[in-house]
Amino acid sequence: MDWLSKAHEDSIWSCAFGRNERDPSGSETVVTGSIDDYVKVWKWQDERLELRHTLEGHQLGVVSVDINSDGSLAASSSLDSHVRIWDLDSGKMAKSIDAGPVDAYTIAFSPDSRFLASGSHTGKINLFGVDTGRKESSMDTRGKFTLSLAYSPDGKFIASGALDGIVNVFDIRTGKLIHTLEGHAMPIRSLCFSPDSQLLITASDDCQIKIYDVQHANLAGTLSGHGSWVLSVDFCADNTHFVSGSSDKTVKIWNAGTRQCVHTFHDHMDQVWGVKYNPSGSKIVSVSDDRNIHMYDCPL
Amino acid sequence: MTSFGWKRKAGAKVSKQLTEAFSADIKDEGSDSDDSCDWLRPSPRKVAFSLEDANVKSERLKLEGATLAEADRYWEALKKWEEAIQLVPNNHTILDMKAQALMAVGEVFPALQTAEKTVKILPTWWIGHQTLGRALANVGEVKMAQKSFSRAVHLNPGEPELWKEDLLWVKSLLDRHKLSRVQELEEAASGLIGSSNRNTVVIRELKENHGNNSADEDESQAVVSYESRELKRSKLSTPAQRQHSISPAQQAKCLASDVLVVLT
Repeated sequence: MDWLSKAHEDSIWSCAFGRNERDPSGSETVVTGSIDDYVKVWKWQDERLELRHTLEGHQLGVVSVDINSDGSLAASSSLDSHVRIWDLDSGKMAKSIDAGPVDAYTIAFSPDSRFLASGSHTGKINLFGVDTGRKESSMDTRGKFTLSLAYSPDGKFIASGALDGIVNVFDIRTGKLIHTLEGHAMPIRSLCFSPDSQLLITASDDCQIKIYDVQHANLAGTLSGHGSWVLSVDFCADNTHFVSGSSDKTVKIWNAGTRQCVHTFHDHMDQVWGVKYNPSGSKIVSVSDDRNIHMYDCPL
Repeated sequence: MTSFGWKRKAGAKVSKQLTEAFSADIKDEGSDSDDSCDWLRPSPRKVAFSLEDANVKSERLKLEGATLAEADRYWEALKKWEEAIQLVPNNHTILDMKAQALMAVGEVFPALQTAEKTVKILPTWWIGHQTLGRALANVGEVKMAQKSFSRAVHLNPGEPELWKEDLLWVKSLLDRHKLSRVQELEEAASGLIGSSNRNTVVIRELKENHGNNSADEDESQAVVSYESRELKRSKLSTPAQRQHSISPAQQAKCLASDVLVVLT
């Protein structure tokens, strides 16, 4: 396990972990976004994080970052409602999208990297074209502020979590709402699909994590264990484990099959806003209000 | 070891009558301890049944304070809340109201301290961060205020007032500051600032920078000291001017115009 102290000047709010397919040495890329308005690009190689780029331009705090599937682009969004797309090789800005007042919050690349989805305050999910930088289409949840969203890895579904605890699942091809899940009564800060797109995991301020069966919208399990808000979840490539980060300053690894907590890390000194597996599922990165980045090894 | 002489030497120097009287007393004490009161041991303290325990009383004081604050009687409200905090020290809602009332009466630094304490007690409570942001803006720390507002929005993005009144307001201040800095530099570069019109330039600078002076340390110091002086003055004359119930933007305008008055 490795960690980097004071990676940003202030609280780190988001992180992403991607492979770098163009690099023959097999390095991986970590992107972090902070309230200090910087997006930092780190290279993970030889068990070490090395700062590659510091990307400037955001204002009011970076709330969400993501890396596309081949690791060539990163996207970031901030509270001033700007979405930026960056070239990870050069560290240059490729696109800047002004989504209008409060119309961009959490962002996510589609699995084919052609679209960038973003939640908004009206409950709409906007899809921006990565190449065009324009809004291509939108889906309406008719609900509250869309706080979190996730693509299913097979590209068929998009799930969104709202401030009032409602989870909506859309069919991307038809743009229709197929499921509304009312399992939580408090904000959904994070959700993610399993690699086989069969399960959906939701994390909420009610300190619980729920597992749903995507096909039938059945609740498959409720996991308690965190002492405060669950802020972030991510599924491992092994299709069994997932990780969660919480306001109680811990990072927990869970087994989705047995619905048990496998391990708890107490390394952070403040709220853990982001946790992410690397694409192969062998490592986890976590970021926190304490300004530190932690890396964990996961035995597969 | 010291001892009472009269008892040991009872037979020798002390008259028999007296010793008998004393010993009779002692016997008495033993005998009537059951029907009269016990003079030797302290009586067990009576259990006082208070009608309300600390929590209930603190809650009542909190509500009383809130009623007073609604009627703009901030100092009386503060007294109530102070008492409530004595009973229940770490109640974030009371501390938050206290911070707001302190801001309303112009006690900006105590307000800041109280707001910081609120955030420490409950870091996931967005209202605490919002109040801290306003307190920071009041002492002129606009960049830090922006961070507090950003944190509040991050915790609860579904609050339009927080976005518009606080975060975007503070952003507009920062933008204006940036703009004025650019203009300043341009003016300095083109040599427009001569010794004759230097004074007017300084006044305009202070008015514009009143809140948004985070970038420059020295400048922020100057503005803060102006502001605190100004606050003292206005507190003596018109305490009602400094209510926070008016929007922060208005307040800043009002402060800025006051600074102007003092300077001119």
